[in-house]
Amino acid sequence: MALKGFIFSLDALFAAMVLILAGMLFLSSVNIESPKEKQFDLVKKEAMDSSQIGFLLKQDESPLSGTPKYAYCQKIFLYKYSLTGKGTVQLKQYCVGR
Amino acid sequence: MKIKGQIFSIDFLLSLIIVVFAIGLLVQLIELNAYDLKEKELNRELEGVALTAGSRLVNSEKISCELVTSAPAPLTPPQYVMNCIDRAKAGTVTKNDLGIPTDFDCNISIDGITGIPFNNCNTAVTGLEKNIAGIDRNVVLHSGSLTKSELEKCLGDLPGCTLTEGTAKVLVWR
Repeated sequence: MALKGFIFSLDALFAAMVLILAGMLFLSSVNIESPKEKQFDLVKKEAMDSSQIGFLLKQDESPLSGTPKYAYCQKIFLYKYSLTGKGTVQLKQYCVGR
Repeated sequence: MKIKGQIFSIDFLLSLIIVVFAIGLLVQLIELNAYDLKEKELNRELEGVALTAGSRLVNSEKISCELVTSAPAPLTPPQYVMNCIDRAKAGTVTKNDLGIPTDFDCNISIDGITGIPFNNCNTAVTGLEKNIAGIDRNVVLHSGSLTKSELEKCLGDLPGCTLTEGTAKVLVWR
């Protein structure tokens, strides 16, 4: 009968542990934020700005260097109009990585 | 039976203590979490306002350079150059134009370039603000409308381009 009492307390102990673990897991899952989207959004905005400024000021393309965690490339197609004949299409690519 | 009763009550007591501790710990965690969530919600709102203000700063016709003919004469319908800030419009652009609610304070400056008065968004940062959200946007600056001939000089990297490069810093807080 003494064993029965022991088993009961062990069950309660496990229950308490499960309760704590479940609570902690639940709270940590609520706490987990996803900064990926935010970082990517900022990189994307920077690349779009770079491409627009690059287009306006005829700046060189900016290739992607290294192995950034977040990267975005913005392509611009320019049509060079020619009075004498067919125009030409030029592609420029501006990349930003972080 | 006496021993059994003793063991049972001690076990029960210990279990009860552990359960009480566990519940206490959980209540504390829930309280901290609720506070944390509230803070995050406020920060998210602040960041959203800063992002919107940054986007409108480079897109809104209220501040963008208007593209005109070489004459110069306005185009129909009017055309605006994205990421180009008209210095002359900086003084009149309002918080509303930038999508900043009236209960928010803001400060817009252009890195390395002085003398661009954002009259409605020039509250000084005192350092006492709880949270400030900021965003940098790469822009070009021009005084007044941009003529076709001026734009062509810049597009072709020819001498006489009147666009200057800068970084607009948008700070927002409440």
